[in-house]
Amino acid sequence: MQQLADILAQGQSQWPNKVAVADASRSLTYGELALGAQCIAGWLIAQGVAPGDRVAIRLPNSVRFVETFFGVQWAGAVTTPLDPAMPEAQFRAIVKRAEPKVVLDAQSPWEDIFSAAPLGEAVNRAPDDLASLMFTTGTTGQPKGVMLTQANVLTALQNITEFVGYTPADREVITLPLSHNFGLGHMLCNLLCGGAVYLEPGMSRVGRVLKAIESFGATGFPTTPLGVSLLLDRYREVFVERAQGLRFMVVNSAPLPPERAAELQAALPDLNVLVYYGLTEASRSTYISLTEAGPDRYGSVGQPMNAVDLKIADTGEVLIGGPTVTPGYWCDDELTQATLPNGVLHTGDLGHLDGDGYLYITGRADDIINLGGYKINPLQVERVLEQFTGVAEAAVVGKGEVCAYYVATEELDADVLTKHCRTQLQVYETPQRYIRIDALPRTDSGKLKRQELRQAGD
Amino acid sequence: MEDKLRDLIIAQLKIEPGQYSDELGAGDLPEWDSLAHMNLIMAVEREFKITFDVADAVDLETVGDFQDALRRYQAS
Repeated sequence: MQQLADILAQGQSQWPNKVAVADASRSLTYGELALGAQCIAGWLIAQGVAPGDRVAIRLPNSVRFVETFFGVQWAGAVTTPLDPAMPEAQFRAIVKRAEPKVVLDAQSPWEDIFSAAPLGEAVNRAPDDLASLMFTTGTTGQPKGVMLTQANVLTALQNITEFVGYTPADREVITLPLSHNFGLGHMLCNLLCGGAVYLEPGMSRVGRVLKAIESFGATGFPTTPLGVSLLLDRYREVFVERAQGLRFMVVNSAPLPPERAAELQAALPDLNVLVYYGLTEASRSTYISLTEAGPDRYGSVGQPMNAVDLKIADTGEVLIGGPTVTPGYWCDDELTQATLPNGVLHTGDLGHLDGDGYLYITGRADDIINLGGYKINPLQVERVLEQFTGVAEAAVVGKGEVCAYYVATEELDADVLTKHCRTQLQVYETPQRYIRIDALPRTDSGKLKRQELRQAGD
Repeated sequence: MEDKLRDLIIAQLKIEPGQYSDELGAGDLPEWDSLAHMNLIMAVEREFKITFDVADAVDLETVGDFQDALRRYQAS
């Protein structure tokens, strides 16, 4: 396996009549998926897309997304998946930066695209060529494009596949956004091993998700700690009844609280509860089966994956090196040098290793807010709030929700502030609470004392 | 009941009245994500002084589903 397009070629030759991908309205076999992707590749090349060009995919989790992803790979281009719920301002900022040759979304001329002559052979790409450009929450308030090579992605897929122990019998329900590495990785791993995936755009239609877990015969369900909480707190009886066929659940994106892990394991005793730790910049870096490791290690995110070089700096920061680490950020040498000196990723996460090499994450070295897997950059939210007439300055912290403190001469209407934020921010980035204060706490040198706000009472 | 539910959903999701319809459902708008959906169910339960069975809650997807469920719960 040399490139991601080979996953499609393998599926087409080995399992042409087996279902590969499904959503609420349709399903495709590996043969049908390959043909659709090859038409998309043919159409892209006819539009002038050349190897290495970026192609943005702005589609929800769906069969169409998977066809498009492989179509772009088949054409030798670089997939740039974007969340379709992203506000226009963020989308425009990313397009300006990534300069995609084509943006494929719900409005694209799909009838024409699928009428294009299929491209029989995939365009050859080298291991160091870019496969994907993934945009993530940046610390400066600007979206940052993480470059991932073919080798980066394939090495990570191999590691995950070994860890999860995928077989062609595995069937996964994926609600995690395919615009992020976690969901995308599961789709790719599963198809790499001849399994099948059912895609749902998020957990909002939870009834449909739970029905799919049962009717699709799911053996795997990747989710976030927030997803675990939702299922256990609100839908436990139905979830437990329909999840009896699950072999594994993978929880990633934020630490799974040990008490939640215990609760999940007690609800489904035969389930293998797996946890990863990783950033988009290095894919998954550590892993653990909480089921096998037992309650003493419920607080750990596991041991390093194959070939991952993990160290803890003197400052307590987790450092990652090895073949899964990105060569850098798109068009941002300064950030690349600051975050990846000598090719080693400075994660911004604080942690420690125990005597057996198990990693425990204890916090963040920067101010990124992680709410159950949603990463929010407070600087970006503050910048948007400070554009609102009447807000002199703002500070945003995570307190189980996104909480905004602002300085203004009078109390401002929270609904109006929310509407203002939503014009430029994702819903999850928009503060749930607004608190007016006389002045933001600052050090003598003027630096914001964010910790003080985090600890402040209401 | 329908007007009260309409006002509640618009306020809870912080959406414009023009975005509201009987067919509107979870996931159709970025504002109506899984967390908002859970909060909406709880808000409806509080407002109408009912408690949905888990088996019913799981099938609540659209405004129309909420209307149907409320009619059933209020009749029983």
